[in-house]
Amino acid sequence: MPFDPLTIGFMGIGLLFFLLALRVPVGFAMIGIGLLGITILQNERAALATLSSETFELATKMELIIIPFFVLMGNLAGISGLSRNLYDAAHAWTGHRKGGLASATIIGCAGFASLSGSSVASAITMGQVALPEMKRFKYDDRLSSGAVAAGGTLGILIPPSTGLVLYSLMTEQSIGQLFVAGFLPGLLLAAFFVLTIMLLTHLKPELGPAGERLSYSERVHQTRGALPFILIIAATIGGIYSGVFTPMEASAVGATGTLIIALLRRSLNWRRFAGIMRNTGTTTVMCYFIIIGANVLNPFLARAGVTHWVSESILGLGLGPTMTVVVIMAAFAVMGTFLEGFAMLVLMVPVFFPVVTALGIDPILFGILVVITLEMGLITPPVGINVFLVKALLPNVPSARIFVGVAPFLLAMLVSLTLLLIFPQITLLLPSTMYR
Amino acid sequence: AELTLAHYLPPNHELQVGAAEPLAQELAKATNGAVTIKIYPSGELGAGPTQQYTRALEGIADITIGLTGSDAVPMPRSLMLEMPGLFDTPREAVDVIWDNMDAFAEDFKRTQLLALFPNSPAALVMTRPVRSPEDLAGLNIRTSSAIGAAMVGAWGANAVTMPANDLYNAMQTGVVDGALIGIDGVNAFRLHEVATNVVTNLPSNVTMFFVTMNRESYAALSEDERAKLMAVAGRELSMKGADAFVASGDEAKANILATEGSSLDVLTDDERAAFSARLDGLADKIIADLSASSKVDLMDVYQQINK
Amino acid sequence: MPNSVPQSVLSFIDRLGQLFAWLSGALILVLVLVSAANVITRYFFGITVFGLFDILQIGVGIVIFLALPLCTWKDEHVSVDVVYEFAPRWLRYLMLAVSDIVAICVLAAIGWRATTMAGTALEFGDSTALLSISYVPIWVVITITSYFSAALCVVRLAMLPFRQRI
Ligand code: NA
Ligand code: NA
Repeated sequence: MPFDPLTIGFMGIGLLFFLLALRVPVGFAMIGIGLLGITILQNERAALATLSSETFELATKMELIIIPFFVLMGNLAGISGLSRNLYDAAHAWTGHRKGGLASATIIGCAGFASLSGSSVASAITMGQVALPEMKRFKYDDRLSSGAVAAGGTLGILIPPSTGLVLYSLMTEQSIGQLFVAGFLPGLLLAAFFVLTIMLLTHLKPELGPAGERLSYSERVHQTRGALPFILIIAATIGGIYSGVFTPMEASAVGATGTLIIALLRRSLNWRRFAGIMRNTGTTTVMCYFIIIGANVLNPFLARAGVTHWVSESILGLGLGPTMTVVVIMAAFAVMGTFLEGFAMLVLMVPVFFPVVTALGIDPILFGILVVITLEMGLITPPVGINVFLVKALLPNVPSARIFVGVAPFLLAMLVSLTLLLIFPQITLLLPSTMYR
Repeated sequence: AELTLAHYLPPNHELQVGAAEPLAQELAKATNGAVTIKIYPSGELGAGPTQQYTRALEGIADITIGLTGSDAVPMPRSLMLEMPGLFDTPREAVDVIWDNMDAFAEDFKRTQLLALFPNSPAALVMTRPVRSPEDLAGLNIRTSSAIGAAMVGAWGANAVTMPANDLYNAMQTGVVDGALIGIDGVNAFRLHEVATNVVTNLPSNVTMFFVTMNRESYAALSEDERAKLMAVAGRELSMKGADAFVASGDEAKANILATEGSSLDVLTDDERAAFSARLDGLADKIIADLSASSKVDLMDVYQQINK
Repeated sequence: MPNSVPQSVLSFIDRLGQLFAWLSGALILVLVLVSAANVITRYFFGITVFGLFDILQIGVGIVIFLALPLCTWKDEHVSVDVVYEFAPRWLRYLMLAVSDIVAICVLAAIGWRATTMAGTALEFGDSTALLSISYVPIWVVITITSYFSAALCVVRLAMLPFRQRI
């Protein structure tokens, strides 16, 4: 062999990034490089066998069934008007304040995040509801688009979260604990977003003029509309936290409950139903291909010694746990600027996780920090998926202007990350009191 | 030559420490470093238990550790070793297995079998006292195998299947009333924290583990190296695996005793007999079912090991 | 869209892909309902579906690949657009071609391997632990959907030189 395995490993990573830059789908690129690498380091028989055994193992993995179940739930919640109810309820209480509609957007996003496992779905669904309202009240498009793009990212932190399912799969951490751990940091982040809006509109009131003030009875009425949502949350997150359900059961019960709401409200006609079915299918296969890709690539990287090399190098710096986490988070943040969130997660977590365990860093805390960093990646240039989604909803607003709009929210995320790092209790309180 | 050994268990698992690492050391010593083993734990070369046999077969790793009952490739003959009431200790099982290896060899023939051994016989890890089958009537008991499910059913309980990771939670909240699980599993899933009663000396079943090797990799070793490998593998390595589970079972028992509110209940022989009586005729039925689905006459295998 | 492939073929491909994806979602819904029903019967009647684990395992194994053709055809897989956004037209053509070629190779490899595994599973009776449900259907579905998706990428690659909007 002309090169040693480690060199081949790094050449593989280089080629992977080249393919990704050429817009090759992430899953296919990882599978391709994994196959190529294993063929070089071993032989093609082992490569093809890795492909089939990983595909099979993941396709029949019970822990992953949560993904399609929660995808279905999010789709049904969107179509049954639950997102509208959430926004209206939040709006009733905050709409008359400066920037109140933007705050309502954040609160609505946080609520919808507990029905949907994905940030993309949250941003689209809430954006469709909230952006026209904010336009009606002459909000500055930087504030309105920033609020939707940033608020949408909460979808992957507040449980359920496909990101946390992936993290649990790659690190063998309890998905129930991860879900429960995401709850308080999610609320904290949402609170910081609202504070950011209050601060911005305090400094520049023209960004978000106050809306009309609703009567108390009207507020109560709007809040009642969001009641079904409380039931779903109680069934899913409450069920997981109290241990009444396993996470898989919670996803099934939540999806069934959402279906019942959609049926009762007659939100489903045949066309919409078919659309939801198709979308649930394609989203599921999209997630699985990334996971399969990572699981074909990782044996190659382990064989080549890349994983080992990275962890040895970082540990060799002797930085201590907290600084090491900061360094790893910085690496994630840099990668997150151009890598899609899932891709970053499946590529980087297996490489860095051994360092985390070696230093005795709490793996649940690390998972939450990783997910928040991933959220930042969703709104940083050049590739900020949520910004692009908002752009699609607001074709007349240039992307650059939306990126300016999300900047204050990015700052809020950094502050939250710092707080969570200094006070791990915020993340670990709920999981540590779980089932007891 | 450097051989790769892959398994899906965590790097601190008793099999890594008690079997895989000693195998690597002894082989290196016996061959003066000519043959070494590099261990990839945690599914680094491939996740989960269902594909371990295939991974050895196809050479993803040279050697893999797997579970005969959970592998996607059926191993019906070795499954006979999981029949109820056969063994009381892993060590005695290893002797029976290797004295009768001809009966199971067919299951592994596409690879070179290096070790075959059980964990400790399953205990009932419960959230309430159980001294007789009557105490189990109508309870939900988690089990992970068809044989375990048949036993639990014969004792009058409902067999429930769920991922082992969910067990702690499920027992804590009463989703299940207990589990039929190897006592070593108490450690792995911290069950002593949620169990009130751990019932042992049941006419119970074991879970079989295999260590197997790719045929081409085996053939690529010199005749001398193969002999040295098999001298440290085989019955020798199987005993190491069995001992690793005994040690972890002992640790589990110590944990149970040290935890307030959880007790270790060893059944008397009379109490055990009541559980055995409920299993009369069960073996015949299980064997008939498994023989039909695997198209192998398993009664011969069973009778050979149940002498 | 002017192209080298007749419109009727494209419309057929699209419908077939839609049908597969629809089936995938519908089966996921069935699995959701079965799981939820199991929770309810367990709580209120103490009854659990024995081997539900096996049923879900096989179910999800079959389901997740069904939407692969539509996802591939509609180019909904996750990819990194950063260079593409700024790339000149000629480079975009090249990038799309490379993407399809990589996809074809990977999908064909999966399909080919799945065919072999379907045969192995049939020969050796690979099946689930509790109910002994055969794994063959999973491999058959993977074979069909992977080859179908690879074929779709071939069609798309053939159409590429004729595409105006990219
Ligand atoms: Na969420
Ligand atoms: Na970004």
